[in-house]
Amino acid sequence: MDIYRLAGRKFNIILLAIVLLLPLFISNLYYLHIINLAGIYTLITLGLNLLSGYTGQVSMGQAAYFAIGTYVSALLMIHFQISFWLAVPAAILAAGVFGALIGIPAMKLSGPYLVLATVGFGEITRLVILNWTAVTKGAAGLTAIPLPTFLSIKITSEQDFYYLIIAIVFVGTYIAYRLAHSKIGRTFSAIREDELAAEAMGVPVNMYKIAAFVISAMYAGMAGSLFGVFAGVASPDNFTFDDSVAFLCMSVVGGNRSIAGAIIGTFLLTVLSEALRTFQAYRLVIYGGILIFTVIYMPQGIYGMAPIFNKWIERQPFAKLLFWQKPSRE
Amino acid sequence: MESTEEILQIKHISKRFGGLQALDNISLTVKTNTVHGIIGPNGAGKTTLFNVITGMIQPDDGKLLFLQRELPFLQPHKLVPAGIARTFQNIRLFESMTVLDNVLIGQHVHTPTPVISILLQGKKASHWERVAYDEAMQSLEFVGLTPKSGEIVKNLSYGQRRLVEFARALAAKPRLILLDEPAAGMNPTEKAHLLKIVLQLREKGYTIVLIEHDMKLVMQICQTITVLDHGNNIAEGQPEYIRKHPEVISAYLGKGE
Repeated sequence: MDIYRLAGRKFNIILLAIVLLLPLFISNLYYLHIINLAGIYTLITLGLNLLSGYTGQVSMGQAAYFAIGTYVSALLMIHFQISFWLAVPAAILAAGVFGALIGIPAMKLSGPYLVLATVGFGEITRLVILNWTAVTKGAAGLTAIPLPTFLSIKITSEQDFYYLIIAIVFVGTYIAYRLAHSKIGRTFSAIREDELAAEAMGVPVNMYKIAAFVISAMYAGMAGSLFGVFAGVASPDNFTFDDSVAFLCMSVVGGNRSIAGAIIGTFLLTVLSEALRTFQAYRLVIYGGILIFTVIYMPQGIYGMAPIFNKWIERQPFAKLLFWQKPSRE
Repeated sequence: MESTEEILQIKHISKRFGGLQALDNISLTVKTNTVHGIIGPNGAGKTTLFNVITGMIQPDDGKLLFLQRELPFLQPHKLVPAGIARTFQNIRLFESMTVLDNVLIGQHVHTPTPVISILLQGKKASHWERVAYDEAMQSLEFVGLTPKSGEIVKNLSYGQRRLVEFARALAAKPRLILLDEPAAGMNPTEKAHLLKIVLQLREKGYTIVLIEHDMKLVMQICQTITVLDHGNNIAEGQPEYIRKHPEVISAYLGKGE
C-alpha cells in the first residue's frame, strides 16, 4: 500500500511537471492549438459529466450554453470594452440562467423526451444567433474579439493561452472533483439511480436537477468565453448539434461518471477529430460508432478500464519503474 | 395527554378513480410507539391509502395530521423532514451505489453542508460527512449489514436488499416508519429476522405502520390492526378482536350461503 501511495504522489508530480513544461517541447503551434482547444472542451465535458454521468440527465444541447458564453462575453468586450475578467463571470451567469430555464422542463421530462428538449434548445439558440443579425452579426459572426490581459501582460501566443486555459481547467477540475466526491455528488447519483426513492428520502429532486443543469451550463459558459478570446472570431458554425453530440461522446467515451474520464475522453476525441479532418463528412458516423462500441463493451468508459489496465501493468517486469498508481475508488 | 399519544391521524380521506371509490371516507389513528397493521383483501384500498400518506396521490377529500400538524399532499420530500420514512413494496434502492452510500442518502436532510465548505474542503463539510457516516454505520449495524457496507447494492441478495432499505429509512431518523409489504418475497428465515427488527424498533420508541399480506406476521407483531375492504374501514382493534370479527372473516373468505 505504501509503495502505491508514494508512487501515486510521484506520479502526480511527474504529471504536473509534464503539464507545466509541455509547451516548451512542442514547437509545432498547430499541435499546441489542438491541445488548447481540447482544454476548452474539457470544461464543457466536466460540466456534462456532472449533469449526464452523475445526475443522469442526458443533454444534447451543451453547444447552446457554449455559444451563450462566447457571445455574451465577446459582445461585452467588443461593445463595452469590459475586461475579460469581468466578461467571464457575466458569461457564466448568463449561461447559468439558461441552464435553469432548461432545468425547469427537465423536472417533468426524462429519457428520450429530455434529450429531444435539449436538442431543441440547442437548435433554437443556434438559429437565434444566426438570425439576430443586429446583435450577433448572423452567419458572418463576430470578429476581432479582444485579447485578454493578465496583470498587464497581453495574452497573445498559443503558449500564453496554454497557461491561461490550463489554469482555468485546473480550477474547473478541482471544483468538479469536490462536487462529485461530496454529499452533492452522492445526491446526484441517487437521483440518477431512482428519483422516487431519492424524493422519499427527503431529497428535493427538482432543485438538485436544476442545480445540475445550472452547473453544467456554467462550465460550458466558462468554456465559451475562453473560446471567444482564443479563436478571436465566433460564428454559429462553431455551435452546432454536431458539437453537442461530440461533447456527449467525449464524456461517455472517457467515462461518464468520473472526472478523470471526462478529461481523457475530451483529449482523445479532440485529437481524433483533428486527425480525421479529411473524413469530416463522416465525423458523426465515426462518433456514433465509437459511442455504440463504448456503451456496449465498456459502459464505464476508458477510465473504467483502468483497473484492468493496472492489473496488466503490475504483471510487467518494468511495473515498479513506472510508479503506477492503483486507481482510487470513484 | 391523549393528544400526544396520537402520532398520525388520517381524517376522512376519500379518493375516487373514475367509477371506482378506492377510499371512502377513511379515518384512522396511529398511536405513538405501536406497530399498526393495515390489511385487507386485494383491491381494498391499502396501497391507495399508503400512496396518499406518502405524498404520491392527491386525495379528493380529507386531511392528514402528523404530530398534530397537517401534512402536505403530493410533496414526498417533505415527509422525512417531518419525521416519516418509508420503504417500498418492490424495493427501490440506488442499485449501482454502495450499501453505505445508499444509507448515507437517508442522512440527506440532517446534514446541512454548505456548498462553499464542500468546495473549499472546509471543517463543516468534513464534520457533517463524519456525522452522516456515523449515523449510517449505526443503522447498518442495527440491521446487521456492517460487513456489507462497501458492496454494490445490486450484488446483494433479496433479503439483504430489504435490510438496506430498512437501514436507509432508519438513517433518516424518523419518528414514524411506513413499511409497504416488508415481508413480500422473503423466506421464513428472513421473515423471522424482519420480525425481530420490527420488534426492536418498537422497543427503541419508533412507531411503525405496515401494509402486509402475511396474516401470521401481522397477527404476531401488530398491536392494532385496521382492516380495509372496498375502500371502507370495516374493523379496527387488537389482533384477537380482528381474528374473530365476522365482517373481516367474510371479507377474506366470502359470505356463507
